[in-house]
Amino acid sequence: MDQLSQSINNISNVASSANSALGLKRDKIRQLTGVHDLLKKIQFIFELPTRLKNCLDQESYVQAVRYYAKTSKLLEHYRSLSVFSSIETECKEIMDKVTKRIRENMTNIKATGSEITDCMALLIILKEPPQQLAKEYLELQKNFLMNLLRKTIEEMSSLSVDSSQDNQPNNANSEHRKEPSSPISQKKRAKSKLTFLNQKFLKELNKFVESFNGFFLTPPREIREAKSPGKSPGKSPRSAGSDILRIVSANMDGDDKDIARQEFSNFVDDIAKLYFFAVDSLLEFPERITNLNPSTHLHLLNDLYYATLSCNSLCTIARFEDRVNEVITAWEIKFAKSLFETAEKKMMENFTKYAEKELEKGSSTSANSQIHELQSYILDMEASFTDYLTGDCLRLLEECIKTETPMVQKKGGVDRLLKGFQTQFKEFWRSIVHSSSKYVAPVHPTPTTQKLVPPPPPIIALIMSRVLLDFGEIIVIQVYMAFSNILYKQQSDYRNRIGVEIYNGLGEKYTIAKELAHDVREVVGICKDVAQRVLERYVEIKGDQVSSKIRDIYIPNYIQKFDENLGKSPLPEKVTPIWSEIITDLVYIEREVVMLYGGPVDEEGSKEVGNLVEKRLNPFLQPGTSSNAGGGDKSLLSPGTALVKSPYAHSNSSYSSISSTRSRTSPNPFTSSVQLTSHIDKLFSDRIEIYGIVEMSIIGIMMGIIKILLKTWIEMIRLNTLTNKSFRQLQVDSEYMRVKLWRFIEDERIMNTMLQELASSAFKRCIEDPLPLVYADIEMIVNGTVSY
Amino acid sequence: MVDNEGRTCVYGLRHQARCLTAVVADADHNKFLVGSQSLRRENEIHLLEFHEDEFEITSNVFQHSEEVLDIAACPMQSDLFFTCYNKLTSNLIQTKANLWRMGKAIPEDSETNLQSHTPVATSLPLENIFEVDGDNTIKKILWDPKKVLTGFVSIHDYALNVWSLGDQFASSKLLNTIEFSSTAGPLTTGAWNPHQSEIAVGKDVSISGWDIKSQSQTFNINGAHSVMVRALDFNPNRPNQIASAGDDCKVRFWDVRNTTESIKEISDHTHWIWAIGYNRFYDQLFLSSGSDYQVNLQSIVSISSATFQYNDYDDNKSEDEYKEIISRPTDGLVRTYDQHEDSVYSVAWSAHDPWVFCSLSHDGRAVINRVPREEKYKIIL
Repeated sequence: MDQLSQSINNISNVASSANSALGLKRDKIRQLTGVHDLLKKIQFIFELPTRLKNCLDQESYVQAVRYYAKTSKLLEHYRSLSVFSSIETECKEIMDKVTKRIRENMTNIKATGSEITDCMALLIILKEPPQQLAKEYLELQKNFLMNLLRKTIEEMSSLSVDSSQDNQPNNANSEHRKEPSSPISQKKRAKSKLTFLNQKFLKELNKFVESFNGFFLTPPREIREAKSPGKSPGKSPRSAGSDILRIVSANMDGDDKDIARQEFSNFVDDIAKLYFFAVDSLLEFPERITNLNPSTHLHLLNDLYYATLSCNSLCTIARFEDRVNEVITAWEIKFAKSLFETAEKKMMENFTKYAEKELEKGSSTSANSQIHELQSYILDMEASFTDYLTGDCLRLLEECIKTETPMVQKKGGVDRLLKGFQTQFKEFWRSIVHSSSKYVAPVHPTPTTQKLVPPPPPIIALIMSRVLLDFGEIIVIQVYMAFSNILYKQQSDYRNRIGVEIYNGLGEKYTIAKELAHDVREVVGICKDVAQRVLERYVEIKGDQVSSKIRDIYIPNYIQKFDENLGKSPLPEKVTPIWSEIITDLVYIEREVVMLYGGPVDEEGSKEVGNLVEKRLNPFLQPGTSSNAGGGDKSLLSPGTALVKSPYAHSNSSYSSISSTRSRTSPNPFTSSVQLTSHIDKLFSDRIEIYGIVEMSIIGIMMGIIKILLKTWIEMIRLNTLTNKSFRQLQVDSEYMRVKLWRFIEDERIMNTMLQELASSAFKRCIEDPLPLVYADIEMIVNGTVSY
Repeated sequence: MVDNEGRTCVYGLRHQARCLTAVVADADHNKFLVGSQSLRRENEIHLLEFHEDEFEITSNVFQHSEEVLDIAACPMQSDLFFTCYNKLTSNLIQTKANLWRMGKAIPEDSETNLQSHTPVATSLPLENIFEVDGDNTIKKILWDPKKVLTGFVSIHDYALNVWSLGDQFASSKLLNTIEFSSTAGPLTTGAWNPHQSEIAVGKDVSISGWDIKSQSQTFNINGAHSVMVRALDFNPNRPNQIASAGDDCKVRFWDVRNTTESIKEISDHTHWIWAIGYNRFYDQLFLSSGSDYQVNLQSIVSISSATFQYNDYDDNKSEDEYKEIISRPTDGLVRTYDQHEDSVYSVAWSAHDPWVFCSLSHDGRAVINRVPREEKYKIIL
């Protein structure tokens, strides 16, 4: 054992002595290798000009740049040594040439996008002024990409399926494409066109965006990291070899960077616009929207979407994902819009057609046949409207959300789609309501230059208001329900949703998807509101039409003519004919309104006859002048005016001061105390709005028209001057109207107030001291006219 | 001083009345002329003066036997005015016009007037200067609104007569006549363009403009309203702008250079509009009144001469802070005055205080109101 340890010791001694003996040499060797390396480097540097020259001659500029990039720092560092400085100048000269060559290459018209990019990378490494480069690069790529896009679009339009043999990013249909001889569907053609476009153009654009961004705007991460410890981007990466072009970045200061960024994004905007325009052209809409197969378009959009997503730089730098989403949204809007617009167009066409028919026809056909015609007409119109919306329309929408594309089926895809449709649907209701009310709105002034378009007949306004009311009460809810059931049921979590209960005009309860509930309420509100306004328009037209007759006979200050027409007798003989004409008009109007606003016209007609007789007789039952008990129940309704059954009778009575009890409510304007009471009456009675809100019922509509009529009468009388003769005639006329208007009116207070006003106006406008007829005489004259 | 903001001053004529005008020649007082309308009683012209400090109306009453249909105060002399009135001769109604001078018996000493506190003075005589010749259908007289008063225009049923005034307004001479066709109703109203010698008239549903020198038509608006046109007024500060109102309860504003479309429409009356008026100082304030018993004060700043002014403010980005405190005037109804119980056939701005106006309803109630202070501050600040 001792022997063994002895020999080991020996060995280690020998080894250490050998080691120490050789140690010196080893150091030398190490030094030598170092010198050798150094010499090699120096040699390389000395050889550099030649090498570069070779590269220049062989046009391998990349190599040249690489060499130069490697050494430029060194040369710079040892510039003080004359040897190096001369080499440096020599190299510089050569590199200037190289730069020039590269520029030439780059600006070559035939240069492709990637060639330009490569050249650009070299130039950046060569430290050309970056802002200049950015500009140049953008300019060149702009030309190139614009040309490329134009060419691609040209090619695309003449493209048949077999020419696009490239594989596509989403190759769902790629196997089909391999059968060029098979008949090509529209769908596939569009799809292949899009693929072609994306392949040829979008990829290039993506590359450009990526490299521009890397070069000038946001240096790639490697460089950013390398930059902090090291000094130059050219030196630090060891792997300068193959990667040199990948991680090139120019140093630009903030302002220049901003300018470059701005110009860059402008360009991207421009070209994106062109690109999406081209894409848009692939999404053709057929003339009849119902012929469209929405899934075709959705597939296409889907391809577009994923093709874009695959272009990373485009998405991150140039917001391409947003842009594509915009395109998709735009498509959805367009699709939904044209789908709904068709319904609106159809309805408006119906209206115009009816208006034309009505204008042609004039008033020749009998009102009775019209009634049924009109009712069924409206029902048909509403039915076909509803059918379209819940049929074709809904079917296409459903197809959309059921389309099996990843874009739609991804999370939130359907929701988004539905939301879009929902907005458009609401817009559609608004628009239909808007164009309806616009159609019946008056046009001012009358256009002089164009051919005169006759305004739609007033009945259109009536029909329209009825239709809109139906919308508001039933149809909107019905259609929304259908939408809710079909479209919102698809949602997986439908069951968890809380439906919202709504009631239609008939008081029926519906449960509708929560998302739609708000819309339904809003649309219903709008429909009802506009129905109301359109109805008011109808009342206005009709009221003006009827009152124009009054205007015609009470032309201001034509008293002499007025009297001449009354005949010789100092007493009026009959009611002025226009009043019976006006009543006839009102009856027609009532029929028209009954057609649409229901009300048991026939039964009521017969039923009312009895009532009417009673009502008619009512004033006669109370012997002319002293009827303070007669008003009974009525006076409870309106203490101020109800007692006044016939204003003229009152004027009469108080004038002959028979009844002191009645002077309290008498409209007699001659004693100041009475005038005071009439003012007090006015204070307490509601103001009567003439062209105001019209209640949506037959009574409301008729009352609206009657108010316009009576007010016109009052105002026209005020502009006139009456004689005793015309005053009495007016007495008769007004009593006739009072009796006749009964049948149209439910609450006679307003009518009585207005007739009272008429009487008081007439009283004051009488040039002589008025000698009113006694009620019995009026009764006889009116009766003579009324009951034949 | 008592804060009279929001208060109203009412004056009763004890007659029915349709017409009212501001005494334009007297720019120092809030004076208005009202003509009564009754057939079987003597009529009166009431010269109302509104005293802002005392917040009361004093009046002088002049005798005018016939009922007054229209009244037009001379823009030069405060004691001169025209009336158009109905004269009945053997069941024939004639509508005539006279130039009157208020009787000299008016006590010029207004203080005694105030001290006496009699709301209505005893009737004073009117001096008849001359009667306007014509076809007995005169319904309106328009004074030349220009500084140099040379004449007036009378509006008849189917004609427009242009007159020159003689020395001291003592006589008149017919210069020329513009005839209108007798189809589609008589002329209803008229207005004199303060910017040129142009008269606008309303006839049935249309409005037309006439150069009274060349007697040629300057503009024509067919179907300006769906029913009759009742009132017209030119914008005092913006040439070419005219307002019209009528039986369709609408006020429309027109640029007469392009009448294919109205530039603005207001519809907040529920019956016919009988009278309208631009504020002579601030044309963004506009009055309308009608047979719905209402007087509406509108702000129409967007089409007024002030619109540029406010646009300027926009450019300056409102350097001054007060502009942020007091909001700028915007279009819309400023206030509805509903103190009337009958149709309001006339309304007029004061010639003195730009914020005072008077309205007159058929029951003879004249009401003085003022622009709400808030709106006033919006305009002047």
